[in-house]
Amino acid sequence: MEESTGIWLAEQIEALSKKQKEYENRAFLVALKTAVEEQNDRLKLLKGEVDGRLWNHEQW
Amino acid sequence: MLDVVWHHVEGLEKIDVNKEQKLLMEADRIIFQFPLYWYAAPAGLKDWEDKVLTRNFIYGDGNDNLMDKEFGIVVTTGMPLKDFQRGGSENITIDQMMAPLRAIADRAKMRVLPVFTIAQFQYLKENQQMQLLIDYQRYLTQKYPNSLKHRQEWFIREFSDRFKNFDETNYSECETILDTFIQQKEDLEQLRSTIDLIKQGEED
Repeated sequence: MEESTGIWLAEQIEALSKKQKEYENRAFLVALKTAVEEQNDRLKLLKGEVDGRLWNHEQW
Repeated sequence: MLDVVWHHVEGLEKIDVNKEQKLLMEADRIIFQFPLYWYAAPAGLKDWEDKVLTRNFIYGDGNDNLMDKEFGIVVTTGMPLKDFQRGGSENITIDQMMAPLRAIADRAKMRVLPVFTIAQFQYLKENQQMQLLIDYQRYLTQKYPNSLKHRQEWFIREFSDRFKNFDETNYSECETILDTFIQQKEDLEQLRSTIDLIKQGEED
Protein backbone atom coordinates (compact mmCIF):
# COMPACT_ATOMS: atom_id res chain seq x y z
CA MET A 1 0.00 0.00 0.00
CA GLU A 2 1.16 3.55 -0.67
CA GLU A 3 2.66 5.60 2.15
CA SER A 4 -0.01 8.24 1.52
CA THR A 5 -2.74 5.75 2.52
CA GLY A 6 -1.43 5.60 6.08
CA ILE A 7 -1.21 9.38 6.31
CA TRP A 8 -4.74 9.69 4.93
CA LEU A 9 -5.97 7.15 7.48
CA ALA A 10 -4.39 9.06 10.39
CA GLU A 11 -6.06 12.26 9.14
CA GLN A 12 -9.46 10.59 8.84
CA ILE A 13 -9.21 9.30 12.40
CA GLU A 14 -8.13 12.67 13.75
CA ALA A 15 -11.05 14.41 12.03
CA LEU A 16 -13.46 11.83 13.41
CA SER A 17 -11.96 12.21 16.88
CA LYS A 18 -12.60 15.96 16.88
CA LYS A 19 -16.29 15.38 16.15
CA GLN A 20 -16.81 13.18 19.22
CA LYS A 21 -18.67 14.59 22.21
CA GLU A 22 -17.95 11.66 24.53
CA TYR A 23 -14.50 11.89 26.14
CA GLU A 24 -13.90 8.15 25.87
CA ASN A 25 -14.70 8.03 22.15
CA ARG A 26 -12.40 10.97 21.53
CA ALA A 27 -9.66 9.28 23.56
CA PHE A 28 -10.12 6.00 21.72
CA LEU A 29 -9.63 7.70 18.36
CA VAL A 30 -6.59 9.62 19.62
CA ALA A 31 -5.02 6.30 20.62
CA LEU A 32 -6.07 4.63 17.37
CA LYS A 33 -4.30 7.41 15.50
CA THR A 34 -1.15 6.68 17.51
CA ALA A 35 -1.44 3.03 16.47
CA VAL A 36 -1.79 4.05 12.81
CA GLU A 37 1.31 6.24 13.10
CA GLU A 38 3.13 3.27 14.56
CA GLN A 39 1.98 1.16 11.60
CA ASN A 40 3.19 3.89 9.21
CA ASP A 41 6.64 4.07 10.83
CA ARG A 42 6.98 0.29 10.88
CA LEU A 43 5.87 -0.01 7.22
CA LYS A 44 8.49 2.52 6.19
CA LEU A 45 11.22 0.70 8.13
CA LEU A 46 10.31 -2.72 6.78
CA LYS A 47 10.10 -1.44 3.18
CA GLY A 48 13.54 0.09 3.68
CA GLU A 49 14.82 -3.23 4.99
CA VAL A 50 13.44 -5.11 1.97
CA ASP A 51 15.13 -2.62 -0.39
CA GLY A 52 18.38 -2.79 1.55
CA ARG A 53 18.48 -6.56 1.51
CA LEU A 54 17.51 -6.84 -2.18
CA TRP A 55 20.29 -4.43 -3.13
CA ASN A 56 22.90 -6.18 -1.04
CA HIS A 57 25.68 -6.51 -3.63
CA GLU A 58 27.42 -9.27 -1.70
CA GLN A 59 24.51 -11.50 -2.60
CA TRP A 60 24.71 -10.79 -6.35
CA MET B 1 -14.75 -3.79 26.33
CA LEU B 2 -14.49 -7.37 27.43
CA ASP B 3 -15.92 -8.36 30.74
CA VAL B 4 -14.13 -6.30 33.38
CA VAL B 5 -15.06 -6.51 37.06
CA TRP B 6 -14.16 -3.56 39.26
CA HIS B 7 -13.97 -4.65 42.89
CA HIS B 8 -13.11 -2.06 45.54
CA VAL B 9 -11.63 -3.99 48.47
CA GLU B 10 -11.31 -0.99 50.80
CA GLY B 11 -15.02 -0.37 50.35
CA LEU B 12 -16.02 -3.78 51.70
CA GLU B 13 -17.84 -3.65 55.00
CA LYS B 14 -16.68 -7.10 55.95
CA ILE B 15 -14.29 -9.36 54.03
CA ASP B 16 -16.02 -12.62 53.12
CA VAL B 17 -12.97 -14.79 52.41
CA ASN B 18 -14.81 -17.46 50.41
CA LYS B 19 -16.56 -14.90 48.27
CA GLU B 20 -13.33 -13.02 47.56
CA GLN B 21 -11.46 -16.22 46.68
CA LYS B 22 -14.27 -17.28 44.34
CA LEU B 23 -14.11 -13.91 42.59
CA LEU B 24 -10.35 -14.37 42.08
CA MET B 25 -10.86 -17.84 40.66
CA GLU B 26 -13.38 -16.57 38.12
CA ALA B 27 -10.92 -14.04 36.65
CA ASP B 28 -8.44 -14.59 33.81
CA ARG B 29 -6.38 -11.53 34.69
CA ILE B 30 -6.15 -10.14 38.23
CA ILE B 31 -5.02 -6.56 38.60
CA PHE B 32 -4.28 -4.75 41.85
CA GLN B 33 -4.75 -1.03 41.46
CA PHE B 34 -3.75 1.47 44.13
CA PRO B 35 -2.00 4.74 44.91
CA LEU B 36 1.57 4.34 46.16
CA TYR B 37 1.77 4.89 49.94
CA TRP B 38 5.28 4.87 51.36
CA TYR B 39 6.66 2.59 48.65
CA ALA B 40 3.85 0.06 49.01
CA ALA B 41 0.15 -0.60 48.66
CA PRO B 42 -2.17 1.11 51.17
CA ALA B 43 -3.03 -0.71 54.40
CA GLY B 44 -6.54 -1.59 53.17
CA LEU B 45 -5.18 -3.74 50.36
CA LYS B 46 -2.59 -5.37 52.65
CA ASP B 47 -5.35 -6.22 55.11
CA TRP B 48 -7.39 -7.78 52.29
CA GLU B 49 -4.30 -9.75 51.11
CA ASP B 50 -3.63 -11.08 54.61
CA LYS B 51 -7.18 -12.31 54.99
CA VAL B 52 -8.00 -13.55 51.49
CA LEU B 53 -4.69 -14.83 50.15
CA THR B 54 -4.32 -17.66 52.62
CA ARG B 55 -1.47 -20.12 52.33
CA ASN B 56 -3.89 -22.89 51.46
CA PHE B 57 -5.57 -20.87 48.76
CA ILE B 58 -2.32 -19.75 47.13
CA TYR B 59 -0.49 -23.09 47.11
CA GLY B 60 -1.04 -25.12 50.25
CA ASP B 61 -4.10 -27.13 49.26
CA GLY B 62 -2.37 -28.46 46.17
CA ASN B 63 -5.04 -27.09 43.84
CA ASP B 64 -3.00 -24.16 42.46
CA ASN B 65 -6.20 -22.12 42.42
CA LEU B 66 -4.69 -19.17 40.58
CA MET B 67 -2.27 -21.01 38.31
CA ASP B 68 -1.72 -19.48 34.84
CA LYS B 69 -3.90 -16.48 35.57
CA GLU B 70 -2.24 -13.19 34.71
CA PHE B 71 -1.27 -10.80 37.50
CA GLY B 72 -0.95 -7.07 36.85
CA ILE B 73 -0.43 -3.98 38.98
CA VAL B 74 -1.64 -0.45 38.28
CA VAL B 75 0.01 2.05 40.57
CA THR B 76 -0.43 5.81 40.71
CA THR B 77 2.06 8.25 42.18
CA GLY B 78 2.40 11.98 42.58
CA MET B 79 6.15 11.79 41.99
CA PRO B 80 7.68 11.85 38.50
CA LEU B 81 8.59 8.46 37.05
CA LYS B 82 12.23 9.50 36.61
CA ASP B 83 12.62 9.62 40.41
CA PHE B 84 12.03 5.87 40.66
CA GLN B 85 15.38 4.51 39.57
CA ARG B 86 18.74 3.88 41.16
CA GLY B 87 20.35 7.31 41.40
CA GLY B 88 16.98 9.08 41.16
CA SER B 89 15.63 11.05 44.14
CA GLU B 90 13.68 8.00 45.37
CA ASN B 91 16.61 5.66 44.60
CA ILE B 92 14.31 2.67 44.28
CA THR B 93 12.50 1.27 41.24
CA ILE B 94 8.79 0.55 41.00
CA ASP B 95 9.66 -3.10 40.28
CA GLN B 96 11.66 -3.32 43.51
CA MET B 97 8.73 -1.93 45.50
CA MET B 98 6.30 -4.36 43.89
CA ALA B 99 8.50 -7.40 44.64
CA PRO B 100 6.39 -8.71 47.58
CA LEU B 101 3.20 -8.73 45.49
CA ARG B 102 5.00 -10.46 42.62
CA ALA B 103 6.43 -13.01 45.03
CA ILE B 104 2.88 -14.00 45.98
CA ALA B 105 1.96 -14.22 42.29
CA ASP B 106 5.01 -16.41 41.64
CA ARG B 107 4.06 -18.66 44.54
CA ALA B 108 0.58 -18.97 43.02
CA LYS B 109 2.17 -19.87 39.64
CA MET B 110 0.59 -16.86 37.99
CA ARG B 111 1.98 -15.06 34.94
CA VAL B 112 3.35 -11.68 36.03
CA LEU B 113 2.65 -8.68 33.76
CA PRO B 114 4.75 -5.50 33.68
CA VAL B 115 3.55 -2.81 36.12
CA PHE B 116 1.38 -0.04 34.66
CA THR B 117 2.56 3.12 36.40
CA ILE B 118 0.64 6.39 36.27
CA ALA B 119 2.89 9.19 37.44
CA GLN B 120 1.69 12.79 37.95
CA PHE B 121 -1.50 12.35 35.96
CA GLN B 122 -2.55 15.95 36.54
CA TYR B 123 0.61 17.22 34.84
CA LEU B 124 -0.17 15.42 31.57
CA LYS B 125 -1.59 17.33 28.62
CA GLU B 126 -5.12 16.47 27.48
CA ASN B 127 -3.96 14.30 24.57
CA GLN B 128 -1.53 12.44 26.83
CA GLN B 129 -4.30 11.79 29.34
CA MET B 130 -6.50 10.44 26.56
CA GLN B 131 -3.72 8.22 25.32
CA LEU B 132 -3.13 7.01 28.86
CA LEU B 133 -6.82 6.16 29.34
CA ILE B 134 -6.75 3.88 26.30
CA ASP B 135 -3.33 2.42 27.22
CA TYR B 136 -4.93 1.59 30.57
CA GLN B 137 -7.92 -0.07 28.89
CA ARG B 138 -5.48 -2.10 26.81
CA TYR B 139 -3.67 -3.09 29.99
CA LEU B 140 -6.95 -4.49 31.28
CA THR B 141 -8.00 -6.48 28.22
CA GLN B 142 -5.30 -6.70 25.55
CA LYS B 143 -3.46 -9.94 24.97
CA TYR B 144 0.13 -10.10 26.24
CA PRO B 145 2.92 -9.47 25.42
CA ASN B 146 2.19 -5.88 24.40
CA SER B 147 3.40 -6.24 20.80
CA LEU B 148 2.29 -4.22 17.76
CA LYS B 149 0.46 -7.32 16.55
CA HIS B 150 -1.60 -7.54 19.75
CA ARG B 151 -2.17 -3.77 19.83
CA GLN B 152 -3.56 -3.91 16.28
CA GLU B 153 -5.82 -6.84 17.11
CA TRP B 154 -7.12 -4.99 20.17
CA PHE B 155 -7.95 -1.86 18.16
CA ILE B 156 -9.70 -3.88 15.45
CA ARG B 157 -11.89 -5.62 18.01
CA GLU B 158 -12.66 -2.47 19.99
CA PHE B 159 -13.29 -0.32 16.93
CA SER B 160 -15.87 -2.83 15.72
CA ASP B 161 -17.56 -2.63 19.12
CA ARG B 162 -17.43 1.11 19.62
CA PHE B 163 -18.02 2.86 16.31
CA LYS B 164 -21.81 2.53 16.62
CA ASN B 165 -21.60 5.08 19.44
CA PHE B 166 -19.55 7.63 17.50
CA ASP B 167 -21.06 11.04 16.76
CA GLU B 168 -21.37 12.54 13.29
CA THR B 169 -20.29 9.56 11.29
CA ASN B 170 -21.83 6.87 9.19
CA TYR B 171 -21.36 3.17 8.89
CA SER B 172 -19.47 3.23 5.59
CA GLU B 173 -16.99 5.88 6.78
CA CYS B 174 -16.11 3.76 9.81
CA GLU B 175 -15.96 0.62 7.72
CA THR B 176 -13.44 2.28 5.41
CA ILE B 177 -11.28 3.30 8.37
CA LEU B 178 -11.40 -0.19 9.83
CA ASP B 179 -10.69 -1.91 6.50
CA THR B 180 -7.73 0.38 5.81
CA PHE B 181 -6.33 -0.28 9.28
CA ILE B 182 -6.66 -4.04 8.69
CA GLN B 183 -5.05 -3.67 5.27
CA GLN B 184 -2.06 -1.89 6.83
CA LYS B 185 -1.74 -4.71 9.38
CA GLU B 186 -1.73 -7.26 6.57
CA ASP B 187 0.84 -5.24 4.59
CA LEU B 188 3.12 -5.32 7.64
CA GLU B 189 2.75 -9.09 7.92
CA GLN B 190 3.46 -9.46 4.20
CA LEU B 191 6.63 -7.37 4.45
CA ARG B 192 7.80 -9.37 7.45
CA SER B 193 7.41 -12.65 5.63
CA THR B 194 9.20 -11.22 2.58
CA ILE B 195 12.12 -10.23 4.82
CA ASP B 196 12.16 -13.69 6.38
CA LEU B 197 12.36 -15.23 2.91
CA ILE B 198 15.22 -12.93 1.85
CA LYS B 199 17.05 -13.71 5.09
CA GLN B 200 16.70 -17.42 4.45
CA GLY B 201 18.10 -16.88 0.96
CA GLU B 202 21.07 -14.98 2.39
CA GLU B 203 21.89 -17.88 4.69
CA ASP B 204 21.73 -20.55 1.98
